[in-house]
Amino acid sequence: MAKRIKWDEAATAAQNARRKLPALVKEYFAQGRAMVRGKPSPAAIHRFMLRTGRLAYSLELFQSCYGPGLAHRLDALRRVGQFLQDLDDCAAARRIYGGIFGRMSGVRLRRFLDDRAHRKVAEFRACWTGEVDAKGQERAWRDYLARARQAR
Amino acid sequence: MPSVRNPAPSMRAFALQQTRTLLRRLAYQVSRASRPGDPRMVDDLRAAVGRLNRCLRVFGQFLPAGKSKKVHHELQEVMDLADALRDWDMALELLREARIPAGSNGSKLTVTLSRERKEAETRLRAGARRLVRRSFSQKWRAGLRL
Repeated sequence: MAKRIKWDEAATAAQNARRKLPALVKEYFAQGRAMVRGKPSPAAIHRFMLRTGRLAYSLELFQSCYGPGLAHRLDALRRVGQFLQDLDDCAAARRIYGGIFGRMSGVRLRRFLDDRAHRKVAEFRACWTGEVDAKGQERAWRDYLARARQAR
Repeated sequence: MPSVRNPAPSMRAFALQQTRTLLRRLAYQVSRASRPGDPRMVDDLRAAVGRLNRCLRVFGQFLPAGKSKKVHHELQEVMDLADALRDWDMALELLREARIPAGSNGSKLTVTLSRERKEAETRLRAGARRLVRRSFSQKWRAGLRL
């Protein structure tokens, strides 16, 4: 999604959506799979969280070209985004608490954040592999986005 | 299939319509943020900023580049203020969830976080008021030729 999309001014919004949006999703799935395969760093989690939000906002712009299926897909993206946000919050909280006390204070607080981060990683992976990227889902997303109709 | 009575809007018209809608929604959220006593405002404001920001990037081809860049910059300033407030809220919430016993570092943390949160809220409200006073949405609408 880093590249700027070049829209065809002579075409309608639905025609442009059909041509351009499936590629955004393809790129996103590739990034997501790379995330789930490895042990992502806090920076990688933060980047993927931002990408998830950007993809959701980009697709929302074309909501009037699609039916309720897009809303369901956006809900799934938002769930992924929420797990990533919760995970990112653990890292941010460590920095904030550490900034106040010089170094991260308290075994109990540290353990709480570690446990929470582990739980959120597991929830993110389950949501990604079991729902968003379940077998055939990427294809289904791309096929769906390639069927945009006239904006209402 | 577009009908003769209701032809499909051009891509440009569609993009400008989306931008107008998101700018109007942002104006509402900024106005909410400029007033005290609405604890849920920060998430709605961040979402409104994020949506307009994305819209300007996605439909940048249809918008004046110079003004678009300037609006991005101003949106980022609002987002930084809102993010700061959200971070303090999140840190306080996690501290509550952790149930650190009274008398430990937890209470010192709570006091510090609450103070920082209050300051962040004041800064965000002041930033939102500045935007409202400047009639930012009318200016951006004119500058972006919406």
